[in-house]
Amino acid sequence: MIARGETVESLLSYAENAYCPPTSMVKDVVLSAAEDLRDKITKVI
Amino acid sequence: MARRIVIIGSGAAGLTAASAARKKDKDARITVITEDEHIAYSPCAIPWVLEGVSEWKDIIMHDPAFYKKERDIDVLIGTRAESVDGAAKKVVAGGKEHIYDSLVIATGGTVFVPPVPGKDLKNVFVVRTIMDGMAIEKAMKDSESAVICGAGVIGLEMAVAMRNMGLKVTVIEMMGQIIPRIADPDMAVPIQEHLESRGIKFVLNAPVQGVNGTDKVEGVTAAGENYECDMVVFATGVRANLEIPRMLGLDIGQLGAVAVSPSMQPYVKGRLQKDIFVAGDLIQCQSAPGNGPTMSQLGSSAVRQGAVAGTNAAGGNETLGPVCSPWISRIGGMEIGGTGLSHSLAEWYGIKSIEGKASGSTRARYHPGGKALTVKISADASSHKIIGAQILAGENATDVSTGSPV
Repeated sequence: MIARGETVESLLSYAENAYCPPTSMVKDVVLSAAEDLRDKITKVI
Repeated sequence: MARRIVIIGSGAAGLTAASAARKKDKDARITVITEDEHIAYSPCAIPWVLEGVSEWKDIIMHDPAFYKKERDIDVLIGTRAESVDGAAKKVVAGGKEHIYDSLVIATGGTVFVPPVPGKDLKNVFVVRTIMDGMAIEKAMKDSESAVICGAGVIGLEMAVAMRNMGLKVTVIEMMGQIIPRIADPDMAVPIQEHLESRGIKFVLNAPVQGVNGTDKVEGVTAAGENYECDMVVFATGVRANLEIPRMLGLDIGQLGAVAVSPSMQPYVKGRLQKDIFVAGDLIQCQSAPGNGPTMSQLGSSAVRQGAVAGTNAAGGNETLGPVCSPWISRIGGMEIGGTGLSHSLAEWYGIKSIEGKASGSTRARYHPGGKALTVKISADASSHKIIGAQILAGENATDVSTGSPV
């Protein structure tokens, strides 16, 4: 996603559809980090 | 007449270039010239051998006979490329002339050792090749203590290996954190604390001022303090090996490495060189998130660069896009890795970075035995583009990072 220049929003969108059902909590941690990042960006704006 | 391809260097870039060239051109005469006595091995595995996890023979994948038999590639080991004449398209190595139609330069980098007093004393080492590793292994048998200069991943892996073999180990780092530049402090501190709990001492903010001793090493002075030791390993970064590029007058970029096009071709005074290709630790290429040059200096990058260089040296038309430089390391039972930019690297590129972070487990909550996992993702504050990610895990960081969409 870095190489494609994608945004936090597109990562979240991708991740929301990427796992069903979750086989590991790992995806949750990546998703949580992305959500934390989105929240911080929103605060800055 | 068959195309003559000469490749200087037998690391990941050089040998990948040779194999890629063979794949592209079945009839080419391909010659690899290398100073090294061993080829096709993983330098990253040297600490594992020193720790007794592997043996030297385990980390060597192929020898010259394999390349001759399987790919009709001549590999000349222990052979120094003494001169290169770009006009005559000629390399002189081992007293013999090698005429080329295409030349690939993959001579890698050299460990940077600060120009301090005592740096040439007996028992002062760098870790780059198997020969370096064997010399360190021999010295470790007669040593009780070691100082590692440099707290990057190689320095830390060496520190763990030596500590596990019973040495008293001190790591001296000039920056204020371990794994500087590529890891953020909050991701690096847990690794430092973990290693301290295993008996490794860290001295930060301490530039090395000298290596002390008469016949051999007796200590290292850093930030005014002396740290006694029987041996020293410098793991203070790698600089591009520019000896051959300078013979050809190739343009050197702002990072002190050879500037290349996406086709891995260098320039002379801004003019693309059509018969010369450069790949590996001696080049700078475009950073994907950084919008500027970067020196990737990773085996994974060298393989991709070597494949493009070799294919194009054999008449192909491949290109390599901007890189993210993913890295990962297992250090004393913990795993840390990243891709793209850390906070400090983002600052270097003039990017205001915002980071999001979360912690959890390496396994699903219903699966026992999970270890702590922390993931950090960085974005450009203005564009919201993702520019980096870091991971710290008690296990399986590689699986997590490759499974992550970032």
